[in-house]
Amino acid sequence: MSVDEILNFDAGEGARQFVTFLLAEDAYGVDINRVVEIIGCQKFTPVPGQPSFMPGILNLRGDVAPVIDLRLRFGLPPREYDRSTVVVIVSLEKRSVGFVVDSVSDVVTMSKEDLQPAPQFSRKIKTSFIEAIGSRDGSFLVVLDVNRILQDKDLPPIP
Amino acid sequence: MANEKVVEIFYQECEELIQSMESGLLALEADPGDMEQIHSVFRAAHTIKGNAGFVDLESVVTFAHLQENVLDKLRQGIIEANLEVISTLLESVDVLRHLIETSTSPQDTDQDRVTAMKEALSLAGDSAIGQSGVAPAKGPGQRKRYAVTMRLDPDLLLTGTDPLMILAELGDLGQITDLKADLSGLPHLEDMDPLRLYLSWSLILETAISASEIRNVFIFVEDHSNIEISEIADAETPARDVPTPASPPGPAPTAPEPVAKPVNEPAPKPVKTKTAPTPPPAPSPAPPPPAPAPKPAPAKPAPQPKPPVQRAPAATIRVDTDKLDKLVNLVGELVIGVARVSQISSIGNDSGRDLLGAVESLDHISRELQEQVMRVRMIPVESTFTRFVRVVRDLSNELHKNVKLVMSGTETELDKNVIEQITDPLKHLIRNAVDHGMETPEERTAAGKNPQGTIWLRAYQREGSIIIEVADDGHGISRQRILDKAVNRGLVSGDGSGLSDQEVFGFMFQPGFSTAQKVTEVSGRGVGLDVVKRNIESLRGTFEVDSVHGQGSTFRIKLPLTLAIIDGMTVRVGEEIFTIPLMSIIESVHPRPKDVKRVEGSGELILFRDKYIPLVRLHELFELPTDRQEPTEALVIILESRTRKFGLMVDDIEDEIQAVIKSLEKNYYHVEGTAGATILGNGHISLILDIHSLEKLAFS
Repeated sequence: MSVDEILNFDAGEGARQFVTFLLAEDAYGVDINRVVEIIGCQKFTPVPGQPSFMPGILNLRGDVAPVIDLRLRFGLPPREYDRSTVVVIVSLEKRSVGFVVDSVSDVVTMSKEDLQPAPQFSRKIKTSFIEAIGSRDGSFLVVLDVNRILQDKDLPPIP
Repeated sequence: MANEKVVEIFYQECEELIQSMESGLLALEADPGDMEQIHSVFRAAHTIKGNAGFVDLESVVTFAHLQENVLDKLRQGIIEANLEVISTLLESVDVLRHLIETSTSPQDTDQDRVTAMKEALSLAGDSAIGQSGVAPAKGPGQRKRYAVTMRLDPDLLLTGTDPLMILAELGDLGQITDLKADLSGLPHLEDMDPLRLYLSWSLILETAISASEIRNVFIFVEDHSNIEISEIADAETPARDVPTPASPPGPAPTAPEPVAKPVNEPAPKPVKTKTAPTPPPAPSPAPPPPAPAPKPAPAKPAPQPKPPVQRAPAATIRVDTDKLDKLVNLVGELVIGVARVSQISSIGNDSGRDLLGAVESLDHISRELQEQVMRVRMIPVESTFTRFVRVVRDLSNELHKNVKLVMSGTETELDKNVIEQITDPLKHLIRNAVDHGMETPEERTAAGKNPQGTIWLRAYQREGSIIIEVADDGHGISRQRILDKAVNRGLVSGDGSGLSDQEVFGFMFQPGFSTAQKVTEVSGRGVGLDVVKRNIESLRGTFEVDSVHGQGSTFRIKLPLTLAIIDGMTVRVGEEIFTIPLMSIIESVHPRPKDVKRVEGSGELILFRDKYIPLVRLHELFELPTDRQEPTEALVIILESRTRKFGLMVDDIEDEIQAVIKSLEKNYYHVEGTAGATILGNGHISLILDIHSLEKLAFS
C-alpha cells in the first residue's frame, strides 16, 4: 500500500492487526495484542527432558521464559538459526512464551471480511492451531491461535 | 453492595481486629480486672460493627452488636468478667470469624451455631450482677432524659468529621429536643479560620438507653473533646431551660453509672451512689446557671475506669506485596547488572583500576540494597506465635491437661512467605506436644513434676539461619517404643541397638508412623511429622528432634534467612552451567582411577572418606554433550541429601555466586531435578539443581 493508502485505510469495525512472520516461505500471523516483543535469536539454555520442539529457555529481561520452535512444532523441516531468525514473545495471561520463526515481516491489518475460518488444508499443521485464514490484496495469511498452541497437550501443562 | 476495593479492605482489617479481640480476651482471662483490655476489646467489636455496616453485612452487624452489649456491660461493671463470660466471648469471636468468612457465601454459614452463640451472648449479658452491685435500675424501654453538651475538638473538621453526623447519630438514639448551638466562640469574620470548629452544642435527648451508650456516639472524638452527658430528672419534671449540665461535672458516663440514683428527684443529687467516683461538689438542687457554657472542665471526671488509652500511632505501614515483589525483582536485576560490569572490569587489567574501585563500591551498595529490601518482607513472628496461646488453651481444656505456653524471641523476623508456610507445621507440633507429649496433671504429680506442663516456643537467629524451637517438659520420646515399632515395620534389621538416638528418632518422620496409643481427633493419625518435615524442607530448612525420655522433647526447625537468594556454586557440564546450592555441598574431589568402581547393573561408586558412595554423571542424567567422559578427567562434587551422600560428576567448578532465584514455574513449569534458575553475569541462564529431586531422578 502506498503511504497515503496506509494512513487513510479504514478497516472498519472488527478489524484486527497481526504481526506476521515467515515459516518456510509461508506467512503466518499472530494477533498483535498477544505479542509482547520481538527479539533477536539468542542462545537458549536447554532444559532436560523437554520435547524436541522446545529448544530451551531464555532470559527475558530477568525472567525465565520457554521457547517453542514453531517449525519443529508444525512438523516442518528444521532450519538453522541465522541472523534473520527471531523470537516472537507472546503472552497468555501472565505467562510469556517465545516462538522461534524464520523471519518477521510487517504488521498487517485485516478487516472482519478479510478473515475466514480455516478449512482442513494441511496435514502437517494441526488445524486446531489455526484460528483463521486472512486474505487481502493478494497477500495470504494464516492466523495462529496462540492459546491453542500454548495449551497443546504435548506441551508441559500450564499449572 | 459496596465496591470491591472497600470490601477487600474490610476483610483485611477484620482479621486484625478479630485477632486483637482474641488476645484482649485471653489477657483478660489472666487478669479479669484489667479494664483497659475490656475497653480495647469493646472498641474492636465496635469498629467491626461499624465497618460491617459500611459493606452492608447485616448479619455481622447484628452479631457484633450483641457482643458489644456484653462488653458494654463488662465496661460498666454491670456484669463481672468471670471465666464463663470470657469463654463465651472467646467462642463468640470464633463464630464472628466464621460469619465473616462465609459472608460471601451465606449458604455455608452454620446458622445453628450462630443462633446458639447469640443466645449464649444474651445469657452472658444477663448473668450475675457485677461487684458494684449496681443493677440497671431502669428496665428496658423506660425513657430518660439526658442533657448533652458537646464541646468538640476545635480541630475536628480537619479529621473530616462532621458534627452534623454526630448530631444525626444522637437523633437516631431517641428524640432530641431543645437543641441549641453556642455561637459565643465565633470570632469576627475576618479572623475566622474556615478549618476550625468554633461552635458547640447542647441538647436534651430523650431515650431509653443508658448514658454510656450515648457516649458511644462520641467514641472517636472523645479524646480531644469535652462531652458531658447527664441524666435529668425523669420525664415528669419538665425540663428547665435547656441543657443544664444538670449535676456539675456530671456524673458523667462512666462505669458504675449513677443511674441508680433515685428516680423522682431533681437531678443534681448524685450523692447517693455508692460507687460514683468524684462526688460532684455543690449538689445544690438549684439549677446551675447558664446553659451552654459547659465548664471548661478538662475531660470528664471519672477516674475509674480511666478513659480509653490513646494508642500510639503505628510506626508501620502496610505494603502491597506486589510492589514488594517488583522491588525484589529490580534488586535482583541490579545484582545481575553489577555482576556484568564487574566481569567487564576484570578483563580491563590496569587501565581498569578506577573502574574496579567504582565497581566495588557499586557492589557494596547493591548488597546493602538487597538486604534492606529483603527486610521489608520480613515480619516479626509474634503475630503468628500469639495465635498459639489460644490453641494451647483450648486444647488443654479439651484434653483435661494443664499446659501453659511460654514464648520467647517473638521479635525475631522471618520472611512473610516463610511465616505463612510455617504456621501449619508449627501448629501441628504444638498440638502434638499437648496431646502426646504432655502427661495429665495426675501423671505429672506422680512423677514428681509440676502438674502444670510448659511448652516453650522460641525463635532466634544463629549463623545466618533462623531457629524455631518447640520444646516441652513432658514425657519425652521413648527410644525403645520407636525402635519396637520400627522393627515391627521391618524398617530395621536386627534390634537396632547400633543406631544412634538421632537415627532412631528419624523413624518418626516416616509417613504413617505413630506411636500414639490411640488416634485422637487432634493428632495421632501419624500423618503429621513427615508432612511437617517435608514442608520445612521445601522451605530449604532442616528439622530435627532431641529428647530425653521422662523429661521432655525439643523439635528444632532451622530456616534460611531469605528465600529468594541462595549461595551457590556454579559448575560446568559441556556448554551449560548449573548452580548447586552451597549448603548441600560437602566437598569436591578429583578422583583417582582406583577410587571409582563400576558395579554391573547397579551403577557407579566412588570412594569418599573411606566409604563408597554412589556416583551420578550429570551429563548422562541431563543428556548433555561433553568431552569429559570419565570421572577421572572431571570433577566430582560430593553432595548430601536428607537420606544419603552421593557424588555428582561435572566438568569443572566455575565460581561461587549469590544466585537470585528465578522461578521456572512462572512461565513454564517445574522441571524435575531443578529448583528454578538464575541469570549469570553474562546474561546466560543457569539452572539451579535441587538435590532432593535430583536424587529421585538418579536413583529411582
